[in-house]
Amino acid sequence: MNMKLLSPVLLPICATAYALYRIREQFTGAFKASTIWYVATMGAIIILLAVVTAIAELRKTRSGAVIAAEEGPTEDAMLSPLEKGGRALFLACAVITALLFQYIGYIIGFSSLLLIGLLVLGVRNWKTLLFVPLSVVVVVHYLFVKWLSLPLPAVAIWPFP
Amino acid sequence: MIAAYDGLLLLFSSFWAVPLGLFVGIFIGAIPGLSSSGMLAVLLPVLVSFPPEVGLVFAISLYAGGEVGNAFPAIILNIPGDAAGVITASEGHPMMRNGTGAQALGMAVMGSMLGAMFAGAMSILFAPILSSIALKFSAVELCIIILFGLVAIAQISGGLLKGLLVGFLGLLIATTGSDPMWGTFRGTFGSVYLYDGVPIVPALIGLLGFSEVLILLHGRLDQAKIQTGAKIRIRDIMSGFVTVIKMPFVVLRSALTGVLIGVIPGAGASIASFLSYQQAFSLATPEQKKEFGKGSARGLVAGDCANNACVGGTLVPLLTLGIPGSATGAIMLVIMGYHNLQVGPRLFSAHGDVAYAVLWSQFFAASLMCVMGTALAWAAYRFASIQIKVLIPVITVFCMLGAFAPNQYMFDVGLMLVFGVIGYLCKRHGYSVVALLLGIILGSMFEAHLNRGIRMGFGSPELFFTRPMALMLWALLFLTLFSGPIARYFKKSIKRQ
Repeated sequence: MNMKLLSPVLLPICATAYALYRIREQFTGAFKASTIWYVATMGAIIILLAVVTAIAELRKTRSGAVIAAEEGPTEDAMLSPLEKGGRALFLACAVITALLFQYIGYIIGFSSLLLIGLLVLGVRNWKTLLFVPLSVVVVVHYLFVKWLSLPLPAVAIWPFP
Repeated sequence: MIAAYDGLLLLFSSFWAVPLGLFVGIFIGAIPGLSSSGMLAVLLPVLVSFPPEVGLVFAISLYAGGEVGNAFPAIILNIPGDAAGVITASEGHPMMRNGTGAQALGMAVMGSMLGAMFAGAMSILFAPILSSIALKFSAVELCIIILFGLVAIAQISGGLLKGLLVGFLGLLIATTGSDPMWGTFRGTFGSVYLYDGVPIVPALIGLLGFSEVLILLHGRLDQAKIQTGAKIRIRDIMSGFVTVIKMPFVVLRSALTGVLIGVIPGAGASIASFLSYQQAFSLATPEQKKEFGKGSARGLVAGDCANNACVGGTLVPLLTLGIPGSATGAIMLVIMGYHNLQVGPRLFSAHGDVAYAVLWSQFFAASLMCVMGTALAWAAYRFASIQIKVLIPVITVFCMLGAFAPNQYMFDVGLMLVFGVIGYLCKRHGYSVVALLLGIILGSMFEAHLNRGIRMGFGSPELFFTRPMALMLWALLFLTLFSGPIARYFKKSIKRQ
């Protein structure tokens, strides 16, 4: 099955899998009888709706009548492989930052994500490259960490009080 | 009446707390993930050191400001600060994309101001009556009220399969965590971070905000959200004000809904905005209904007006009965307790001036809201003229911060990314993200109240159909759902004759 055919039914498939997991868990776990019916009912309705939706979506796709969602990617096909690669790299950076955030802290994490993000998304102005990461990190440090006492993961490299 | 006059005099001596609280509230409300109650909790040691009226006036002004500030990132960046801002984002952000973002900001500010004014008047004039109504609401009635919001799932998705599918998916996701009746853990995949349920703020930031980043990554990045050369004029924001004034019935209905929901302890601003939105949709003409979800002024005003009216409503049970209806109310109760004020029905007889000073402060907060809100909206709108390629990494960082802030778990940041992908899939294939969010936000409350209602009836759902207030709510739900089609049917049949 190619991606064009799979993509519209991905959500119904995931919803069905999740509903099946929840129903199974509800009947096999140590749950009181009075709470089983609620999750089971929701799960059953979801499976029913997901199957009908998936069939309708597949029919639409096969007949070639898929109408792109209003906010869908209209200019996607016009992007060069380099541009696509840059955007994928940015997303990968975001995920890596989230995974390593606990260890690298917010100063390194946010400034590197912003710098790499701006670079791979095509910003070449050195003032922007310098000003945006610096200003965001300063705002985060003084507003969130110092003033609002948000305990963001940190490593001690901030030179100012 | 003397107490009301004394309250006004007392307020003048502590007036400085109103603009300060409002400014801090708008500022905090505009930061996704930060709540006014969290901010008040941080400031509690400072607030209790002031005289009681100053602390209470500051707290209520901050709370009111938070509900307005919430609208700015929701409209401009599609990142609501909390659950109550979902309606603002779903109607305001499409307006932003259509080039009428300034008007949307104006509508949000004016809707909020009128809602707050109405709530102030209602709480001063009818506090005893409203508090007696509040006591009549049990889990049964609350369950039916939440049902109003859930019905919106079917309505905003046009009753289509996709909308219902994601709506029910939201309801199922909302059952994650401990069972409301027995406390056993469900759907947690063995993760302790999900024992308290799926956190709402990371879910809504992911579904609305981060999914927007993923959508933006598909388009051209060298543009701005609005034309870079376009002038940001106060006149455009003012035209939003005029639009709101031209819909007095929507404002009145939404404000009344907000006050009534605010009066009920535990209901909260998110239910108020969803319920008001559902009513605005139900009572709209077929032409107006087509605009919902694509930038409807009625939907936006209904949500924001109810949001702010709810703030005034929460004061009623707090001041008359000593029951805090929200987290902010609980903090205000702590301030009152610290100063040995007679909390409960005797507050008005023993410290009427303090109680009335708090109630009067809502009017001043609402008036200042208009000025401060406009100035801050004008400043905030400038964000939209930044190039998308610069905006994307910055939004991503603030999405991460917003997801981390409420619970301070890195798990929540990961969850936000997962919900971002779900939101992206939904938007790309025409599934309603708002329906999914409605299910997630209202689902856990609905399940809890449904189970409690059934327990109240000793296992029978009979109470849902026998209590007078419940019957009235069922009738109201029926009316809002079917009055439009029935009226149209009769009009057609009269025309035929």
